[in-house]
Amino acid sequence: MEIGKVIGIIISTRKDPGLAGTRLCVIQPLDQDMNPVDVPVVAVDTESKAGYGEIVFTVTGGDAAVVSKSGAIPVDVAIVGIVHSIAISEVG
Amino acid sequence: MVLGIVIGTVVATQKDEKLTGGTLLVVQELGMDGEPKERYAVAIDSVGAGVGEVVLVAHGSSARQTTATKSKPVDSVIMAIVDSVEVHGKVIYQK
Repeated sequence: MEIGKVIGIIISTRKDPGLAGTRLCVIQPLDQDMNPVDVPVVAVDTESKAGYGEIVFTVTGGDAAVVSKSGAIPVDVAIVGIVHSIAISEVG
Repeated sequence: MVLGIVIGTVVATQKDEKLTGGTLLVVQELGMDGEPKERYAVAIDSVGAGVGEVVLVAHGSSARQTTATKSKPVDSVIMAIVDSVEVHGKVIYQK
């Protein structure tokens, strides 16, 4: 799973029926210091709970397809949680 | 998923028999600034997209999760036609 920030919204009326009622967000992946890494991706938010600017964590690949309660959907990035805080300890 | 624009169609008479009846489209990837990238994919269309339309493409095993691609040898599917994209409060695409 990866950490990212919601930086945008995509509106689509013609989409796979399994995506009805979900939200499509543009996510900027972040590193452990909350700096942007890689290019933004589009993720599904099946609960439509992640707001603009929020820090979230996502799953990618085939694992994202099983995020919906109503069965498998054709998505390769999905928001699976909204981050409240992150603590990173110095080890060693 | 990645944002892309449909730039062409692929015709193939000799192909895996499970792909019969499917529409193959060439999609050029777009950045989140709306600019085209030098990255292309051939994707099965599951939503009735046409040339010139901005779409979302899902890659990998997730591409098999539409009625058009179920249990077929497919790793890229067009699963949404985009109406608008807003990034950092700025509309970068509007149909």
